[in-house]
Amino acid sequence: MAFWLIVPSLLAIAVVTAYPVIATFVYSFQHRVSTDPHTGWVGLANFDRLIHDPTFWHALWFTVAYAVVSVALQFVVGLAFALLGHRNFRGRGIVRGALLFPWAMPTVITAKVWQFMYNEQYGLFNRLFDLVGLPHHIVWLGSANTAITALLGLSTWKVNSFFALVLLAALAAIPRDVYEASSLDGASAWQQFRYVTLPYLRPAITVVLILRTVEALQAFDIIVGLSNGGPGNATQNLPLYIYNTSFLGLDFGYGSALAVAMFVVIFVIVIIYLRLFNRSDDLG
Amino acid sequence: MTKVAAVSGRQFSRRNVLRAGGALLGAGAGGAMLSGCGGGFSSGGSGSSSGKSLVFAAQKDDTGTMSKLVQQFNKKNSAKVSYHQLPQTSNDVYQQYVSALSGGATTPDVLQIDVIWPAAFAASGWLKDLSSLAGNSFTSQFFDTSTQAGTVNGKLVAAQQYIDTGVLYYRKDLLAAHHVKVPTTMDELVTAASTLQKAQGSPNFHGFVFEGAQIEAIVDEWFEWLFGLGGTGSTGQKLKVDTPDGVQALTYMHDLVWKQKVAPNNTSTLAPADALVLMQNGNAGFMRNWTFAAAQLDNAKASKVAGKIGVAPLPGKAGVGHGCTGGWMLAINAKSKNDKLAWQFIKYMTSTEAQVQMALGSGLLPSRPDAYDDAQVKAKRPTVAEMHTILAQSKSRPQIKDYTGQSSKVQPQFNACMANQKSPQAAISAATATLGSG
Repeated sequence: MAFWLIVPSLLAIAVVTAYPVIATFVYSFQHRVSTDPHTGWVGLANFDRLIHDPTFWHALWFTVAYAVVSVALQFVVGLAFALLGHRNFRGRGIVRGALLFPWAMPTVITAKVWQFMYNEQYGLFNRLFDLVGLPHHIVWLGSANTAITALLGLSTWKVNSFFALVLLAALAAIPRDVYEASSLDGASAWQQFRYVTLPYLRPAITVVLILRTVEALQAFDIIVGLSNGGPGNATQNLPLYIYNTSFLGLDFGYGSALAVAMFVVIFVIVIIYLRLFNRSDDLG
Repeated sequence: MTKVAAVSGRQFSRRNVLRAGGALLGAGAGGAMLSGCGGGFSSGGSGSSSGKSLVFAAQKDDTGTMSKLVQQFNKKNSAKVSYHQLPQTSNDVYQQYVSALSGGATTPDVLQIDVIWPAAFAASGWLKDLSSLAGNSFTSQFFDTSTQAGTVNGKLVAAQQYIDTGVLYYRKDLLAAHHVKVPTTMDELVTAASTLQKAQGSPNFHGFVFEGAQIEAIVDEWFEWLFGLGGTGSTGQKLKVDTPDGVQALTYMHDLVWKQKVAPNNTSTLAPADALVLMQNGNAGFMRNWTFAAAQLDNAKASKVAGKIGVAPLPGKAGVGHGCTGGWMLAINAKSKNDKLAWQFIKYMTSTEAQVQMALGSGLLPSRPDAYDDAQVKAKRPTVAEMHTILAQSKSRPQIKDYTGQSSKVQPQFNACMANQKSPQAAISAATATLGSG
């Protein structure tokens, strides 16, 4: 009886998770182009092509670099907002509400709105730059460096609030008496932050960093909405390359090989993360 | 102080971290797997078709003519065709179709598809063979190019709803005011654009605007200048970009922005709708765009330049050049459960009656010659009659089965060139390298 009761959920999991994962692994060893009726096994040919594909290496590099830099920026800004939101001051409720706002907005819509704000001719940013006398004919999404800057700006605005919210909750859970005790011992504000606040926050930080890093490695909607990988391939990360290869190029075999490569990358990075954080926990 | 850390370390044990990490990893892997990607349509459910109902997917039509035609069909046949509106960028429509059709969706029943897709879609087994339904009496009503575009391996898989081509729009008033002739060669276009830009003297006014975004249009434009220079751009089933003419065509586009500076420096971000806005607001003297732009430029509600716009064929090297033909066709989803009604709908949408209404309402070019002879079209849409002659000069893109896949490899390289990140030669070489690897 018990077994039959869990069958529906097992089936659901098999259909929506196991099947796509297994199918992707299988496809990665096949020549599978939907415009070509000849589908067949090709061994490691897709992976050989991947190793010699400069677009793949650039996408891989951009994926990792984007994850590292964007998560670092989101973390620093988010922590600052959490500390600010934790203090007692008038209008704290408004600040806390404002923290939630970017995170609550759907990503694609945010990205499209920011695309307008980055517009060269009628965008907000160039207008602001104009008002304060800075160069204001910047084609934000028209060159590699400014497009990457624009993407980081958006992702920091959008995601720092997630860090802020989680860290704010963790800050509220730190007992007051620890601060009082450290004050009696003569700890400065910096020392309190370094030796009381941060250690207490570490578990929360670990979870948020892992969550956000894995999500940043898979960033898709934010990039499609803002720059769609351009200019050229400057902001094309692996998920976007996988998507373009599979759904524009209709090459599902090579697309699957790219997806498997991405799986390996995420796996390795998560393992590194877990090792790193557990060790520092032991060292205290 | 170290005690605090030890406490927190215990609260967050290694096992818990690993457990959480494992769950995350599972989620991450699932997300990374492309088979999990969703499409824009539901496969069945609310959108399913039966009896007298159909789902018809087509690009959004701002003029409302398409909706009107669908309503008329429904009324005449007491049918329930619902019009599923798609984005106005070809690449976005393509992605939605591929997601839905590769997943075996039964709807949309009737698909409006770009002229460059029939070969790929038919090879993937996504389109119904219309040959037996249509017969010669059907195809003979259309332009030969339309029938060719819808025929794959001798089978008719799509019927053309309207033709499109790249044309040169210009401001009649400005040309007259500054005594500039309508350019017929590529060099004359540069000179004319530069004259207007200098005469207007505003940093927001551009001599010439065209599409440089990372979309299909950038490749179409390259073909147009290439045709003008006498090139072809393909060998067999492959795009061939690395020819002297190919480099020169891309150099021409690059230099308009970065050397002669007659095109805006954000050209690399402009799609057809963006270029249209610049022209509508009176911020450009010349524009390369599709024929759909004519009706919108003449719409006094949306356009500041209504009544001031002229159209001409795109210039070539030594004389009039060639627009790149495009347009949209109607096809039936191979998995559709209601192909009889679907075919009836296609016949109606491609009829003279419907095409005349499209020409009048949206300014779109009919795919059948008899619609151009209509008295109302001649009286109310003189630009359509002008386009008819431009159309005779136009050329189509090479019929390559994997055209979209190959074009999508070329687009980022050309776009990088328009953004001045790569020289034309470097972009051409990089495009050749990626084309070779596939």
